[in-house]
Amino acid sequence: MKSKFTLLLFFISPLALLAQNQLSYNQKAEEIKKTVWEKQNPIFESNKIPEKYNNESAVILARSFDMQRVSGGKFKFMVITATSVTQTNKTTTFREKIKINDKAALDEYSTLEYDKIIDKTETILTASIKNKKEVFIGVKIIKSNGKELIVNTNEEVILQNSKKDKVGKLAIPDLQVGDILDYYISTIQVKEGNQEEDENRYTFFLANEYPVLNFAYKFQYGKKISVFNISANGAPQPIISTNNDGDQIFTYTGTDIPKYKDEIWSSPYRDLPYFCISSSFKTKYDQMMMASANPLSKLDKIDPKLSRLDNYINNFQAIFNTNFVAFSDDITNQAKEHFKSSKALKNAPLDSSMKVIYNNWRYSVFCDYDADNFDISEMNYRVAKSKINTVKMCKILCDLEIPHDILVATSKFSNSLSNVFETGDFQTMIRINGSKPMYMFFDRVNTHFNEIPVYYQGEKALVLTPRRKGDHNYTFTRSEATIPVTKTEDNLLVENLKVNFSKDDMQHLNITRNVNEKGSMKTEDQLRLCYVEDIDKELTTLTQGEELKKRLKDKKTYNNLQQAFDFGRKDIKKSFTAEITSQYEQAPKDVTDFKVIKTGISNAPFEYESKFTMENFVKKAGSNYILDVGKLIGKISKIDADKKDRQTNIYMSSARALNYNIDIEIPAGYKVSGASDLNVNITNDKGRFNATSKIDGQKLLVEVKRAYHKASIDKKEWNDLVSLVDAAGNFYERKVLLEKIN
Amino acid sequence: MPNKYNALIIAILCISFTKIANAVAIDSNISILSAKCLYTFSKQDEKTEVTVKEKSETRYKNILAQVLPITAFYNEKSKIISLNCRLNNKSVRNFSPVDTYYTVKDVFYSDVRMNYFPLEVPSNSITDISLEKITYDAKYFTSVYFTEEYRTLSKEIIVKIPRWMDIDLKEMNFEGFNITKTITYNEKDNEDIIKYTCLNLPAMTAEALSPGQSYIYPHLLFLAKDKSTSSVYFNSLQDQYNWYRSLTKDLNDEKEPAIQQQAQEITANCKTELEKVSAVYYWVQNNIRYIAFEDGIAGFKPDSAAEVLRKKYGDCKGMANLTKTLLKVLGIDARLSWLGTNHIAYNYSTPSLAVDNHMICTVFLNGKLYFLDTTESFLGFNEYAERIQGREVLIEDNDKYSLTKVPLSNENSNLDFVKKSLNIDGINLLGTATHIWKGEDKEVLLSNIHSSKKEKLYATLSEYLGNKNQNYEIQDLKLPALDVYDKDISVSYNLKFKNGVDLFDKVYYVTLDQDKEYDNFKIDQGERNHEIWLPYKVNIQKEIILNIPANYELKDKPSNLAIKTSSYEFNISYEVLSDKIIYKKLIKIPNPKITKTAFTQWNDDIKKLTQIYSETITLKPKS
Repeated sequence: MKSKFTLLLFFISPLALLAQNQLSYNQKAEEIKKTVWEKQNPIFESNKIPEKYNNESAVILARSFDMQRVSGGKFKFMVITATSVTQTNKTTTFREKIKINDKAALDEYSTLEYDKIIDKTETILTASIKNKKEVFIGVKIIKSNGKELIVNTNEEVILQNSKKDKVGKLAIPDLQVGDILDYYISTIQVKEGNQEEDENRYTFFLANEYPVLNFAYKFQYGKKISVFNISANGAPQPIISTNNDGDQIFTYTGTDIPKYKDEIWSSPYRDLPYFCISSSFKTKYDQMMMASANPLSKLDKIDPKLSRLDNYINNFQAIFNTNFVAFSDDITNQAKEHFKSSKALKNAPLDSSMKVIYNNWRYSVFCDYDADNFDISEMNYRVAKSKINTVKMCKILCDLEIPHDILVATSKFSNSLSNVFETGDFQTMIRINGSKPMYMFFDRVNTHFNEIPVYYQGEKALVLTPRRKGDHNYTFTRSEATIPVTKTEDNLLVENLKVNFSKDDMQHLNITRNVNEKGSMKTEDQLRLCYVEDIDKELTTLTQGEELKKRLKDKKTYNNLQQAFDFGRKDIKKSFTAEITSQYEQAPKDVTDFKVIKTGISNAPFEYESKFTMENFVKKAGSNYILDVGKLIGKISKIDADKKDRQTNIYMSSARALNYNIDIEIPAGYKVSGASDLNVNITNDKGRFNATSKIDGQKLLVEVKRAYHKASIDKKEWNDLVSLVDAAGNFYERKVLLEKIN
Repeated sequence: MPNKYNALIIAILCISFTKIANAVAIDSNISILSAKCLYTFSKQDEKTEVTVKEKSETRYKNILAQVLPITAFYNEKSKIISLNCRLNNKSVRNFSPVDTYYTVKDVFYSDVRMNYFPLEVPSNSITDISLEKITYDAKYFTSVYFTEEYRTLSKEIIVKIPRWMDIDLKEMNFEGFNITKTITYNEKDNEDIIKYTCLNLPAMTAEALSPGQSYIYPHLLFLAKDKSTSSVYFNSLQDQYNWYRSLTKDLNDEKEPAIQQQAQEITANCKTELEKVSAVYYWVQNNIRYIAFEDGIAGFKPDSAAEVLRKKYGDCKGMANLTKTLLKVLGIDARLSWLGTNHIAYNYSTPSLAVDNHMICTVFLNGKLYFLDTTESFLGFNEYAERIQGREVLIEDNDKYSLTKVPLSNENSNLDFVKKSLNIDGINLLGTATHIWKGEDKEVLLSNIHSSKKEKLYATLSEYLGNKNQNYEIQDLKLPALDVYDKDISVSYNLKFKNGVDLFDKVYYVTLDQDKEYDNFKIDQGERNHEIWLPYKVNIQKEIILNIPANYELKDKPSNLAIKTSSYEFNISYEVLSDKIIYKKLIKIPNPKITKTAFTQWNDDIKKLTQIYSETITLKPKS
């Protein structure tokens, strides 16, 4: 229950709020308690559960969230001067009334942990800048006979008890299965100084692990505060009203939300109803002072008449006209060196020159290291910041007069472009406009030139076409595009397995597994198995960059890094063993050899190979043996019966193909039966599962081809996908007999 | 090449860390070169408690640059006087450990706190940490461990004991470690100086199914005796009991109306005293939530029965006290009882607060003793969990005490029983199944069931019965009473096991046993450091009858297996009758502790068991 309450907070009138600031914590707690429990709230009145929910673990009878924010400028006397600071008063209350129907729900709701007081107020000599949040809780239990018990929350234990940091924890007394729990978490926050918008952002999904009978979310803002909101995927629009003080009130209400089941390949931000609401207040003085302290802050202007996305795009475009991302000619110079001259660079085929420039960018970013972090396990997982790098690359391309666009898009596993709400909701990339478009996406070390991460494929994009008029004078025209989608064969995994029965023990399989991966199929394995130092060396060679020792000017950093590289190398075998274990859901008996054959860093594909011994794939049947052939393609589960009905649409990472060529040496003195039963062919327009086998002398050759032709599929077509997954799951259980020849 | 400015921009702006894989722990990166710990017992005057001052200096060496977490723990009965740090022989700027609480897994509240500072250490650094700490009462200073989180090359533990103080130092688990001891007398301060020097200590490692630390690592157990007029020490178990008694004797809620009313309600339909004891046990078990508190003196003093009844939750002490009080109201001789679970290596022959960690209620009835541990959520009355079986139990008896042991149950108190009758239908197996669980096996089943949501109860049970096999379809299953724990639990159903048979050239190959307990349960002797303690004694009995289809006969079957050692028994047989094969499996592990010396034998036997599991029955058409 703890996690649910961390950010949830309440509503009292502004006057009460100001008055409350003079009150002690306990007085405020009493006042809030009185307000919440005594205030009429129709959605919390009923204790009746519809019969259809009798078998639920818990049912939320009502849930509400009330938030009120007032902000304003305040003149403050500092030590030698005076300044104006923004003071924000914010109160919130989250309240929930739940029928507890079993021990699982009782366990979930039986304790509460909360930050009671967080006081980050700073004192500079005689002046103090307030920043304090107080949290108040209240709990009521309604027994099955209707008797109401208000819990004494003073029974809490205090985990942390300093003046500025108080953490409480409450085990709710007398709570039993069959009871109704009614609780609230309220906060009062007073903060002086600029408050970032993300501190005031709330996102609510109108879907829950338990059914919700009634909900009401209410947000009240002072009239000078800018409010932003979106409702997505069918979530209701708020009812907007004002009160006598001119406060803006946004109310979302609804009834009877069925519970949401977790489903494989889903994208909640694309399918489930949710709303976001946030607010911003900055005095003119704030804006002026911030702009002088941080040149970027002056870009942070929000025009309420524009969409959130348009606002962010305006700010993004404005970065071009600042010094914030300085033009750097290192990448270009390196490319000129590569082509021996500026002219040669200019005359080179566009795909060739752009690839060199992109690789130089990769080298500049990923062959540079944090001087304080030498954790080898993290280095391959660094992600470039797309917007900053897009700006940087765009300036380079403008300088080289390469025609290109900037594409703005969102991941299919987050909000859609039309529902962008915060700056992190979208990424940017570059499209080179040659005879055919080519793409630069600024993502991970193993992302290639002209490779678009699968999350953005097929997404609608906003196109910004730059025009450079001067060093800090760029203009953009806008259009729209759809990001291309890779085909099934672009995202390919090919496994070649040579399987021998151990001479010492027929029930042990010696396997040589060679894996080729490209496109989306390589991403994870490449990061897991390619050693960071080897990637560095390959990128260095590729770009003719400086070797590590020369590159890192600080000797100490070099020594630390080289030592970490040397130390981490011994764990490569562990990475391979872990990869084999995850493939077969069983650890190998031993791993005798392992290597990366092609890193795929310079060019696709990625290729690696391992040699290992597996147990439990062969059963003994008298003098015969039964081989679990299906297990050789790795663990595949069928779709569980309770998942055959689909609530949400299907979002897979990409179309893809997985091919397995299995070459099994039939031991002398044995013949194979049942090979023909391995043949399967399920094909539909979503993909296929095809397995064929043949005996070739002393070899059993099995070829398995799995393919998923679409990444996104409507939930109505789920059964087509189920048939493919189940076909693979059934194949996983297929066996052949090795019969002793008499 | 990126210039310095650009490199800075790149570092700050261009890269964020998104981790999609778990970090690999680098334990071997850090070692302790030397550690010196001095413990001094002192007191200001005769009226004050004896305090224990700890002064330690530890020198760490790391190979790679990383964060070295510096932690110092204390609690209600101790205090950190100073915690200092030098890095490569220089003071560390901004070294300011945070004082915060420490979360102990599965404990709702603990008084353990810590000072914590994450120190960034460059590669090949030497870090010196010095700590001064005081424990306010020697009674609470119970043990000192030699081993640390990291490999330790050398360590000195020096204990200074004034001659006015009498301390019995028990040396635990020294065997196999390089520890030497010297004793000198310091005439000036009239104290004995006991010095232990140890070399090449391994790092403490956490392994699944391990005994508690007090069984494994070398440590000193401090038994403070009484030479002082003011301090309470445990010269004997009677002294320890007296102290416990002082904390519990005033707990007397028998006259509380709520207690009385509840006791009467619980036992309204009981005819005998034994029924009343049983009814109270089940009521507390079902209606009081167990929540663990470890809180200084409150960690030894039970909450009042009325409070536990009101709150409907408590720790072991509170639950034991409520159980006792409800029974006392009913005129039954029930008493609070202390014990150390099998997590603790000691018994009451060494009176110390380190000896016990649990409280239950003991009932004296008709000349018999009943031990009621209501913290066990799903064990029946008179069933005892492995963790308390055979453990000494200190039972209150006014100003005296009695000491006895919780009875040891044999493996037959637990049972995982299955009987199936199966027919071959194409490549499927059809038939009926009956399961029975008792003792700890019942507890495991019910814990699984009750941790799942109500609407998923049937699915959870089905999954449990089918050992998570998606092809195991269950039909006509009637849910048993899952809230009654005083009986064995039994379920029967019809089953269809899809693809349960392999069919090649009209020959059937059947693997009857899908559960395969202890299949591949090999112990990696190269990696494993500690003994393996299974959670409880094992008693698995399975009988599967396969009806041979008409016109078929048995061609091959797996061998039988009969392994019996003093610690376990694996017995598998295939009895062949004219029209059926009866597969019987018996796995009994009456001694759940697999010692390191038994690992080789265990692995050999598991290999044989695994081999049998990997063999099938062959049925061929009659010729």
